Amino acid sequence: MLNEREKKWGIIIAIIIFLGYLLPYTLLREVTAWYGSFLLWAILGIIIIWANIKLTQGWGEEE
Amino acid sequence: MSTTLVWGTITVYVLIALVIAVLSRNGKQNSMTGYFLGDRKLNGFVSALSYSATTYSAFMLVGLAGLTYNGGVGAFGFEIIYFMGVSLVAIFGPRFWLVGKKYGYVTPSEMLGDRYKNKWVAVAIAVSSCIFLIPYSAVQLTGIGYLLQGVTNDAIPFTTGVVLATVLALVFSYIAGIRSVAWTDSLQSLLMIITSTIVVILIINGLGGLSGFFNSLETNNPSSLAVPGNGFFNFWTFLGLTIPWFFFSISNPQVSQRLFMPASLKSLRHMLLGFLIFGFIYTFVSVIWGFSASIMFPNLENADLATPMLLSSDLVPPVLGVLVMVGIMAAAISTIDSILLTLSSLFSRDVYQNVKKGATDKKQLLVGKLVIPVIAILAYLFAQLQLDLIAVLSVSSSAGLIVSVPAIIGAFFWKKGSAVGVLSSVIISSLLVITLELFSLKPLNLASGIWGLGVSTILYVGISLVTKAPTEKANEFIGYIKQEMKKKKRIDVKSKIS
Repeated sequence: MLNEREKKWGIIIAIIIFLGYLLPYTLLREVTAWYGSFLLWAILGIIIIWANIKLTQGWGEEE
Repeated sequence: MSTTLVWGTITVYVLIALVIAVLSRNGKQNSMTGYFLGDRKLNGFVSALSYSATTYSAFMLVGLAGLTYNGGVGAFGFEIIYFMGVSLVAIFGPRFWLVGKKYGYVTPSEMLGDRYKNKWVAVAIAVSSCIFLIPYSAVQLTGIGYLLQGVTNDAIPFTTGVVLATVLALVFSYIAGIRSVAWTDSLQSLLMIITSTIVVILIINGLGGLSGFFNSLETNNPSSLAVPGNGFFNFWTFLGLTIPWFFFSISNPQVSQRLFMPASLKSLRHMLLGFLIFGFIYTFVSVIWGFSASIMFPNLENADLATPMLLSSDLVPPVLGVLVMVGIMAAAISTIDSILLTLSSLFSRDVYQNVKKGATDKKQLLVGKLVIPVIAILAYLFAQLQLDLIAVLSVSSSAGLIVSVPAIIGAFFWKKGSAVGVLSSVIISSLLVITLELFSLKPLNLASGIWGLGVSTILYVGISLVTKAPTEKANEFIGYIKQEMKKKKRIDVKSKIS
């Protein structure tokens, strides 16, 4: 019931969210610097914006 | 901060907002759709700013900064996970919009009542929204009272602040319904994003640039840059906080109702993307404020003082500080006026219309308008009483509203969902969340929101499987969306080829 574009970008978004929970509590647990969890969440946030841009492409065509 | 300066800025702000609210009165406001949805004709830019203003209450710049002050970078993660959850709009947004237009829905609960072919579904979800959101508004009002009292050293008493905010919220929603709300919201979010970003730049410069800023954090408070860090954000706390907020964009009616309003899918897209960019900047700003306060004032007793302390510090010019302060007040008001409007539409459309047979559109609008001040006064009284129960309901509002999420997802993607399934999942799980919050219980160390979501999912699915689903309506509803989304795809492919 989701279309192909929704499936593709939906999965990417789901992976990003999963990484947003996983990495800070495992790999970056001891990294007490700006390039630790702070940078990771910032980058994941930007990827989410980009994924939403891609997912909603084509919405503009209809009235 | 000087009281004269604070009052002067409030006066100027209120005057400008009033002019904008009055100017927004184009179009007809004499129907439910006109008054509560702006005739489904909002443009993308105003929708985006207003969506941001409604979502980001005073909590953001006071609460999130405080949370960062206490728990470090985990607060950033918490807000980013919420932010990621707004992607749900990319999936649910066009679906809400399509059926809203086809069936003429004014409220999200009306949509569920129609989809599950049972008016009590609409009533139950509308009532549970009121139970959680009126206290939530009350706490926002209390926040304004304390904020103004604090920054003026009691020169503006608590009650004056609360009365002022209640009256403004009421006026902004009354002048032209959603149009005046949306336009004053836009003024507030533009003011806030500009002034608060300037504050960040000034503070970072004052603390020795970005490298100086992070150096002091890494040296003085290294644990604030990792989770669980000082232990504040252990994983289960983080999960318990983030899960309800992740679903905020579809569970909270004051924002999900917005999905009915854009003029076109293009406007809806602009609303979503505009909000994401706005939200990302805003999140950064609030977190940097919290970190800066932890560098400048490491020994505050109450973390909610982080923002007021920062704004009254030497690094921020007094006029800018006051402007941001008034912006925070406006942020709380912009959240409350949207909630007022949404709740009154829920009451008139989902409770009044279903109880009183044959209520015309005009009658519903009249009732809706009459209910707005009643809800405002209720919120005001709750704010004055400062009861423990009110605080509990407010904190649990996002956890409490999450119980309708399975029914919302099912409405679009599961034909077997039944009205009995929805009613039992919403009612039982709401009561469960309230009980857990009231007695501060955390069975298995899991927060109330996780229990709410888990139990409501099990009840919705389990009970739907053994009761009768409205198959005909489900086929029609889901079939219509499928057909329209396919059309969208064809156009999509065409535009790729050309």
